[in-house]
Amino acid sequence: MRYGMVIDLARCVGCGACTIACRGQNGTPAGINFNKMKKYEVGTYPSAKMKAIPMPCMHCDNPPCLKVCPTKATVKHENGIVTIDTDLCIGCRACIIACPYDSRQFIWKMNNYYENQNETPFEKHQYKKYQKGTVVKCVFCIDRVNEGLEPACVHTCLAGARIFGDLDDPESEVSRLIADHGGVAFKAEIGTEPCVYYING
Amino acid sequence: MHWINWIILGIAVVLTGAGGLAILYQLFNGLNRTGLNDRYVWGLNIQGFFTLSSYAAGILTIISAWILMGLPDPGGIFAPAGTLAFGFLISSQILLGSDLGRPLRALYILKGRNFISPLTWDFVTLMILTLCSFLLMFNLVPQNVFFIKVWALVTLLTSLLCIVVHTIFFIPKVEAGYNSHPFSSLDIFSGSIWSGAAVMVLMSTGLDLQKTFLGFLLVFSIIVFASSAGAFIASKLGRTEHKNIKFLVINGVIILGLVAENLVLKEGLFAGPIIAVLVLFAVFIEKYDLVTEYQGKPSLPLPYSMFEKITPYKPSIIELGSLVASFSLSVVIFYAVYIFKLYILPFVLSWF
Repeated sequence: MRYGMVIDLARCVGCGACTIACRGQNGTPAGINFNKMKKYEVGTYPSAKMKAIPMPCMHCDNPPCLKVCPTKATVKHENGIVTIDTDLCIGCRACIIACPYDSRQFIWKMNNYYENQNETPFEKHQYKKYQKGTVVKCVFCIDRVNEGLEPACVHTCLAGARIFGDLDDPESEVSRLIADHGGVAFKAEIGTEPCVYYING
Repeated sequence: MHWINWIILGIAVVLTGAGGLAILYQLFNGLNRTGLNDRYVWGLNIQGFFTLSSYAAGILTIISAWILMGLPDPGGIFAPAGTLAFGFLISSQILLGSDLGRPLRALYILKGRNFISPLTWDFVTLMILTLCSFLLMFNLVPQNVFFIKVWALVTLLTSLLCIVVHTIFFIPKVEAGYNSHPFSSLDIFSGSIWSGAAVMVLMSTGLDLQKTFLGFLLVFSIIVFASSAGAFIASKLGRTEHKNIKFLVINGVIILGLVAENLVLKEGLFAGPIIAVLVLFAVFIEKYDLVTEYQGKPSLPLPYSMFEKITPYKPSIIELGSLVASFSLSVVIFYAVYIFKLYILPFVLSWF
């Protein structure tokens, strides 16, 4: 089994709901963003258009971040999801340097969402799983996935632009979409074998 | 010991003491006050680490190659040069340790045993080189041709491995192609051996031997210049931004200086040491271009990175303090060992 995601760029409206859902689900400290939304412009004035491309962790099948981690804090699970064991992370940031997708972030400081105020009860509860001085990234909501649910970003996408499933199963919706629409992975040429594919871009 | 040396030691002690506070602050508080950000995750500390380890590897490469060729220790400078390499290695490791988000977990590297990680190999090679330089520093290698050759071989291979390891940190981030990778192995290797030759020039100050090492320095300068000038021309022809212009200019000045020293100054008083210090500075600048400036480039191709905000990197006072302390600590270790061997060791030995 190898979990992967297909992002239909024709459907994505760049609303950022996936980013908000991700923050809510994972309770990330302010400034930490697992699901980045890159905006870019196509065409020329007066017919220029603003477009968006969501950039979660690509959960590469051949992840460079896993190779460079000296303490084996980065783990690739049997289902293909790449996670970080915070208790093993020494904060060397070699994985951030190695990641070609800017998917990882270092917790420089545990920032609250309300500046100059104490943590909210939600923050207090959620921040327990994060440690200052360690690296974090998108985990494909592994806890939800283990319960048979979809990642929060997929569940919340109002345009149905994100589809999650097993890339190893040729009958799965993700495999079918990739085959039918010629799914393209980001920087596939560098051999990382990303598990996030884009279609209709 | 000459009074100039005492002054240098005094200054180094003060700088180590003042900057050492910054290192201690970072060691016990993690990366609290730095100029680093999500774009520049490695900065002055890593630049200093690469520089110091490059100096040490360069010194040990030259010494071990010299021994393997069967040449005798010229003027007894191997032990002091080994001491300086030891100082550089200790300082580089302290600097690297203080740059970790969780410095007190550094030994997890031993537990992790991920031997495909460049950082693990960095750790291993630095440990071996520290041991090798320690043996050299106190003449602890058994004075037997076999053992000396084994020491030299282990040191040479480990130094080369240490340098090569530094070339693979950025590999996954770049696409295949000439000069797309900031850490070209030849550049890194020649930079390291270049700085090693510069240290040898410093060590042989006042000896006739300095001329030999100045000759080496000229040869290595030309190799480094040719390599960086080739990259500059290639980037101009390819219309890409060239990152290493400062390094190229300093390198040119060094070559001119070396030629002038040889042709014009002849018995120039401090020309050799000044050029050597300039070489060490050039290697430090080279690491800035490789480590820090490279990170300023967006990882994603256009148009996806067109609106990416790049926060500039300005090292904090803590980072500057750590860097100064690590360089001055190398000097303190060098003199401390020298004083120990000159004044304390004979006294201790006289008791036995």
